[in-house]
Amino acid sequence: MIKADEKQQELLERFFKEETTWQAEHVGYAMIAWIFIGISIIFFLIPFQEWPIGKDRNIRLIVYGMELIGITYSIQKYRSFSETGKVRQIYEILKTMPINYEQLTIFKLRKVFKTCLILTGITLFSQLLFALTCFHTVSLENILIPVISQLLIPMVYIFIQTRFK
Amino acid sequence: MSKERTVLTFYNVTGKKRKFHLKDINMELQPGFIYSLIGPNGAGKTTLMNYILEEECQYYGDILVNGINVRKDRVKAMGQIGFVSEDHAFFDNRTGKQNASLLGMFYENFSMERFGQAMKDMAVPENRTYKSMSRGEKLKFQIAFAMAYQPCIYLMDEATAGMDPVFKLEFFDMLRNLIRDESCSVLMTTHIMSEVERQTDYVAVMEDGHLGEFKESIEVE
Repeated sequence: MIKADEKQQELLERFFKEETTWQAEHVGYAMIAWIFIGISIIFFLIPFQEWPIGKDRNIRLIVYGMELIGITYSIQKYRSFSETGKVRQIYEILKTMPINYEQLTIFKLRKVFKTCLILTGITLFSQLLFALTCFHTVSLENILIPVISQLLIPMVYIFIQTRFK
Repeated sequence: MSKERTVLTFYNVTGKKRKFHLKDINMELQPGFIYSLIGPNGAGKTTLMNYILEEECQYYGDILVNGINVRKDRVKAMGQIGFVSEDHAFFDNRTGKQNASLLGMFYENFSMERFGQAMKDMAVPENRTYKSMSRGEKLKFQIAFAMAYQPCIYLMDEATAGMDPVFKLEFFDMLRNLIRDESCSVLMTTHIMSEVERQTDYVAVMEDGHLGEFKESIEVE
């Protein structure tokens, strides 16, 4: 089972904070992330009862796909950087350092978790608000859909991506 | 098992890969010596180093660095290893000092003063970017980086390949200085017999994943 080593987590936090020369491409990654997340979240704000997505599986897949792409780009700066025209993996530098790949995985998952928690909060609030005001009733899907689509699916996706490199 | 302090120990290490892997490697390295592994290309010299350094390498047996099991406590073990090789990656666009400042934080004993002094002693400018350093300067930088956290074992993979004879003498003088206080050892891989004879204390031959016994370099001559 993966267990967080807080000392290594602090070192990674310091490491990524002090590395500032990656800013240019990181702005690009952040912009791409928020564009994709922003577009996908519009659909999740609509109460499930009136959800067009529920009726069309293809639209649902596209929206989920966009969300996952956005989430992936939100942590891209912890994965790779550009140098002398080439894209290099951070792990290439860290693999001979006293740091475990497991801890790097946990670090990235924690960053994703923060983003996903915020998105879950926003969509949950919106789902409940519109369901109550428009339909005067809340169904289980109004609660489950934000939790599953904004928290569970992205976390599992990123875990699989980072754990099994 | 020897009761003397050992800096690097392999106990019955055999690789798990179906293709090329190490076979039943046993060795104990004491501090204060330069050990060399010699063998043809593809013998397993670099693979042996990778077994120590890389997390994903799978093997039976145990590898201990200064008594620390690499598999059970990799972080602590890696803090005891200084790795010098062309394949050791650093940030190309950062200076030696910036690389040391950024990456040294992962080592408990890392000292920027020791790093600075070592770079000064080896006449490598701290403010030169890593990519603009010559091959020799990169090796010196890597040694200085390792000296900053005082590892017990320096692993040098084909460090002398392509080195000019003048710099090679300087390089081996540096290694002799490293081990002078007998707190650490050097394990280097090479396929050049002449430097093994003259410059190292013990040599072992590696072939097809098998490691022979370490013998004094004089005996091998």
